[in-house]
Amino acid sequence: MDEMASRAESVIPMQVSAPMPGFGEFFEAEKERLLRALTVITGSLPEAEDIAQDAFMKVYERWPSVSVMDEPVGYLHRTAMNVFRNRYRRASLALRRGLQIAPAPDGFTPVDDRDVVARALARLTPRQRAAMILTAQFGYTGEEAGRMLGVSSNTVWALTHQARAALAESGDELDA
Amino acid sequence: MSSMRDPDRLLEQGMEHVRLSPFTLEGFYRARERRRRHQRQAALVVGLAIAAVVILGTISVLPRASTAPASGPPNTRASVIPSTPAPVTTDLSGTWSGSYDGFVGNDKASYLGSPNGTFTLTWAQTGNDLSGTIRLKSGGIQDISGTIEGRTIQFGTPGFEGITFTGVVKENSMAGQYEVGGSARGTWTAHKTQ
Repeated sequence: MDEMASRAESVIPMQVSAPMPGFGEFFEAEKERLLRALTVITGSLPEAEDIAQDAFMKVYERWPSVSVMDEPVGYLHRTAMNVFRNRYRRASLALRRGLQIAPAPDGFTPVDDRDVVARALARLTPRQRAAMILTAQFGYTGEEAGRMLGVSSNTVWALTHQARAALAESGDELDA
Repeated sequence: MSSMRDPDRLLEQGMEHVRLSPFTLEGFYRARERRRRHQRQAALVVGLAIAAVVILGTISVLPRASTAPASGPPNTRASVIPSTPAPVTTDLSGTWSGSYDGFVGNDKASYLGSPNGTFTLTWAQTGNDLSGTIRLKSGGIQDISGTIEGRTIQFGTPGFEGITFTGVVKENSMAGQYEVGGSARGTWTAHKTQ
């Protein structure tokens, strides 16, 4: 599925025509789940909206081809993860280059400090959250999630393992 | 009630707890149109910037390109059109004495017999075509052929490891660079003696 999406992304010509049939339904069906996932991954709703907007835009531009894929949702998720990775990489690079660009504020902390779930998730890195969402919530295999995140399946396994351990530890504290 | 110890449940709750702001299809289309408009504006700005650079570059090059012989006419339209080869103003036929200085990277080359030295060119010119010989002081004489387009001269020796000279002619002198077999290279200069 991902390979198909990847190939398609590179060869499908850009479409710039007016609203296309079927896209609206796809958008309405997928937007909320994607937006929730991206908000948890990035920890920022505005950031998540930007990524979702970019991802849907790329899907829209290739909709005639994407719509006939076996799994258009997979293409959407892969595209969203690509956008997320690029933004994450740029932010990391900027920090490493000492540009003093502050990382995007983690939305979990200011949203509600009393929210125990948010505090637990805030302990994870964006990559750990992404790996866990892709595998546990979206049901992708380690290989598929790895391709989306640009890492090996072993790394996905390590990230989800670390995430689960950290969440379990948070759960212990919360249960206590 | 499920325990907070379940990581999957925690994650699920995290997604459920996200407070979404309206993310509508209409908003998506509006944002898309806005972005496309910004892209068009950015493309326009880039296009204008490139055009400005090209125009400024052309203006700064024109005075040099149109430098004519002292007896020539002042700057005319014909002399500022770069796509039109300037007429040959100098008859290169005759004998020219020259020198060269060669190098390969930082190393002096000896592809012309020695890293530097002198040579004698003998030209016969027909229109823009040149033919003649080059005699190196370090030894040897070879046939050469070439062309002159405006003030740009190109000539070389035939053969697998031929020597290619390129340069600019200015009245009774010429100078440029040479290359041997695509590797060794250097500079050369010559002036007309007969």
